[in-house]
Amino acid sequence: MPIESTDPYRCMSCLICTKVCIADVFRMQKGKAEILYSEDCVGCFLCEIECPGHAIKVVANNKVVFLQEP
Amino acid sequence: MVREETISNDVLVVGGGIAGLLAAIRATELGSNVTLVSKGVTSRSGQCVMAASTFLGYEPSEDLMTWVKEAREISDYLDDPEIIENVIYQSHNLRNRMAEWGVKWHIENGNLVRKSGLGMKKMRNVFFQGGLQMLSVLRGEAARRGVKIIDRLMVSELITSDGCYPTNGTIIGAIGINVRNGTFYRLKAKAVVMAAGDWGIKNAFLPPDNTGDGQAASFRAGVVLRNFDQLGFTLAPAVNLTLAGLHPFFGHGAVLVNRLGERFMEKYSPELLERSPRAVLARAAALEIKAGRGPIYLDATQLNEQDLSRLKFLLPRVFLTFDRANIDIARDRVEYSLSNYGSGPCGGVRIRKDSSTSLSGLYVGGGTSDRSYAGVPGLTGASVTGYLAGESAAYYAKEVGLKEWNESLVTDLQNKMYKPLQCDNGLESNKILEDIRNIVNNQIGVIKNEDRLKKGAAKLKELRCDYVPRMMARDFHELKNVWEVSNIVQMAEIMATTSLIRKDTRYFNYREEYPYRDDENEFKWILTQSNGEGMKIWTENIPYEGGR
Repeated sequence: MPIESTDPYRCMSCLICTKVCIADVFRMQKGKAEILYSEDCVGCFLCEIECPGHAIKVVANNKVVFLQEP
Repeated sequence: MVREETISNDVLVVGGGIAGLLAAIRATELGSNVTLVSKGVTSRSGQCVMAASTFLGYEPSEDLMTWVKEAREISDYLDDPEIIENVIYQSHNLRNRMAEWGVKWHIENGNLVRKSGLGMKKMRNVFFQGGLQMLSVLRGEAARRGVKIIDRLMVSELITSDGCYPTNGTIIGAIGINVRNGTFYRLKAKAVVMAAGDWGIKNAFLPPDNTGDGQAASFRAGVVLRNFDQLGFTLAPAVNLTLAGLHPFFGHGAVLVNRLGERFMEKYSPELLERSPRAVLARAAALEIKAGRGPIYLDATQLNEQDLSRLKFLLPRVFLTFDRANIDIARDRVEYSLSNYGSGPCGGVRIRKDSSTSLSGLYVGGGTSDRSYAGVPGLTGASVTGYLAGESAAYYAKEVGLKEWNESLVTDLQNKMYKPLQCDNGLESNKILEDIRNIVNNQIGVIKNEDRLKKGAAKLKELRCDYVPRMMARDFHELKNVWEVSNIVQMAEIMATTSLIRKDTRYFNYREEYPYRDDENEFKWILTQSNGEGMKIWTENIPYEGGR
C-alpha cells in the first residue's frame, strides 16, 4: 500500500512503530521513522494506535501516512 | 559479512502466536529451556491479534459429545475425532489458565457473554478483549518463566539428523536469519515446535506473515500433511480484505444480502442462515456473484446500540477502518467480498492428539497444523494444540540429547538462502505474487473444476521451477519476501494438485463436477508427503465413530 509522505515534526524517535509493525515497513532514517516498504502495509493500525506522538495515520484503503502538522 | 549466532535449547518454538506462546509456556513448566523465535513481533504478529476476539465457550456442564458431533458436522467430518474432542474438552482449562495469567474475557453483568457462532446450534462462543491484550499477557508470562524470545527471525529450514530432504531421520533444529540485518542463526534443539501459522497469499484475509513458512519447511523435511486440498475463503469488507468478524457479526444477528437486497442464505442454508459454517457462506457468496447478483453486503442496521457498542469493543480494527472509509454500519449496508483464507480453515501438517507429527522431534500446533479442529474457532484449537505441542516436545526432549550438525549441509543451505542477494537482474518477488494470487483465487478458487485445477497446478509448478529461482533481493527485507513467495508457491502447488484427488464437495472443497458430499465413497482424509522431486498423495478413511 503506497505511503504518501513522512513528517519529521511529530515523530519522537521512540522506535515504537519499528517495533510493532507486523509487516516491518518502518526504518529509522536520520533519527526519524520513515516508511520504507509501503507496499507491504496491510492497514493493521498498530502503528497509529501505539505511536505516542500521534504522528501516524492509517487512511482509507490501507495507506499509512505521517501527519503533516507539527 | 553477516554475523552468525548459535543457540542451543531443549525446545525451539518457531512462531509467536497463541500456539507458540502456549507451547513455550508449557514446555518451560515441564523443565525445558526454551527459545521462541518469530519472523515478526511476538504479541503483535500473526492471526491472533487480527482475529475476531472469539473463543469456544465450552464448560464441563455441557454435553461434550453433542459439541463434538456438531463440530465434526461443521467440518464435513474432516476433523480428527480424537483431536476435536480433546480440543473442546481442554479449551475450558486453558481459558481458566489464561485468565489466571491476566487474559481478559468479556464479561457483562458478572457473566461471560455467550453467543452462537458459525455452524453452531448447541455450541457457544465466548469473547476475549482483543488479541493484542491476550498475546501481550502470554508474552509476558513466557518471558517471566524464562523463555528467550527473539523477534524478526525467519526460520528458513528445519535441520534433519541425516541431512536428507525428505528425511528418514529426526528433526534436530532449524536455521534462520534476522530479517533486518541478515544475522544467520543456528538454532540447535532436541525438539522443535513449529507454530508458524497458516499459508496465505498476502493482501487477503491472513496477516502478511502467514505465508506457509512452517508448513513448507516441514513438508521439505518430509512430514506428512493432511487435508491440503481445502482452500479457505471467507467474507471480509471490500475496503480491507484482511478484516475479521464473521463469528461475532453473525452471532449478533447481522445478515447478508445480495445486490437485489435478497437475503440469499435463505436459499442455500435455510436452517442456520448467516450462522452457517464459513465454507457454506463462502460457497453461497461465490455462487451469487457468479450468477450476477453481486456484490454482496453485510447488513447490521437492525442491531441495537448495545450490540453495536459491544462489537466495536471486540473488533476495534474493523470499526476504525469503517470510520476512515466513512462507513456507518448502523445506517448502511457494507460491501463485503470473498477474501482468500489460504489454509486457515483446514489443512497443514498432520498432527496426532499429542501434537506430534510423522517426524520425530517435530511437534506442531495452531495454523501450521492440519487444523483437525476446524469445527471450532481457530484460536481455540491453536491454543490447545500449541499447549500440547510444548508438552510433548518437553517430554521428548528429556529422552534425547542434542545432535551434532553436518556443517557442510548447513553451509549449502546458508549459501542457498543468501543467493537472491547476489542476483543482479533477477525478478521482483512482489510481481510474481500477483500471478500466484490470480492462480489461487481463479484457477483453484472457491468453485473448483478439474480443468482449471490442472492448469493451475501446471502454472504453479512452472513458477516454482523457472521463476522462483530467479528472484532477487536488494536487502534482507526483500530476502524475507523472496523466501515467503517461494513458500507461497510451493504450498499453492500442493493445494492445486491435492484438490484433484477429492471427488466430492466437502467443507472448502467445492467441485463443480461433484457438487454433493459423498460419504459413501469420499469419506477420507487426503495425505501428502514430499518424495524429493515432487509429492506422493494417498487417502485414509475417516473413522465414523471417534473420541471415546
